[in-house]
Amino acid sequence: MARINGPALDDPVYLTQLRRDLVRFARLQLRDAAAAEDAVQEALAAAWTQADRFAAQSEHKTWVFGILRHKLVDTLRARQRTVNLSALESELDGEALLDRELFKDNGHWSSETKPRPWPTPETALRQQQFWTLFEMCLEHLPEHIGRVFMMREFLDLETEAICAELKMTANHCSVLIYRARLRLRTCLSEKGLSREDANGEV
Amino acid sequence: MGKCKNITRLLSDALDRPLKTGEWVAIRLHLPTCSGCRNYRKQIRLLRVAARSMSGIATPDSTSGDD
Repeated sequence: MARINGPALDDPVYLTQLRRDLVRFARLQLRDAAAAEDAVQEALAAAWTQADRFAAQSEHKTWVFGILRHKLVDTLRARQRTVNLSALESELDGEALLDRELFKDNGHWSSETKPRPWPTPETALRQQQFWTLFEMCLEHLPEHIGRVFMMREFLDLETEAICAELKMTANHCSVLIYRARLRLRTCLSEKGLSREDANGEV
Repeated sequence: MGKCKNITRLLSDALDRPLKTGEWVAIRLHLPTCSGCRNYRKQIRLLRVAARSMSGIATPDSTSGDD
């Protein structure tokens, strides 16, 4: 089992958990279970050859995720799906509906949808409930909105790189990321994420 | 520019690009008067921390702000 001089990278519990996290992550990005499995398999194989370099499981995990992110960027690139502008426009037209729900005619929050406090990051990120809801809400994002948001926040690409990659204007890119954030926070709030104590902004 | 609909967009953009002076001014004038947008700002920052944590990207200071 665990080696004395290094992290327990052959620890089956650690590896099972790591694999599960990687697959979940890859699926969200690729929306294709088989392709996700392949990417994870390759990342793990590549990481394995370097396993000696790491002093701790957490470092190893960061490293493997880094490899996987590169693989996912390559995979997405290989798909060469440029954005269909009319599909994008119609997705954004649909956003007007959400805006009418969230904002009054004068552009201010309507009283029912005005954001209420969430738990602090320290608390939320430790709650299994948060992660379950987060994943569920990510899966519900419309296609382009979800894709651009994932490229920005999960694959850590700069907005300029994303626009260039998808041949979109900077404005389209930032609108899509904005819509993703607005939708995610709305979805999480609707599913019940809230703070019970009185420290928030109410 | 002082409407929540515009301010929420600027608060999102602020996570991805440096804002122009006028944009910062709009935000700074608006936030003290609007708890909804203050909560929104905290929430989208949390989304970033969560996304990075899920993808194994280190975020040493992303919960601290620019206030």
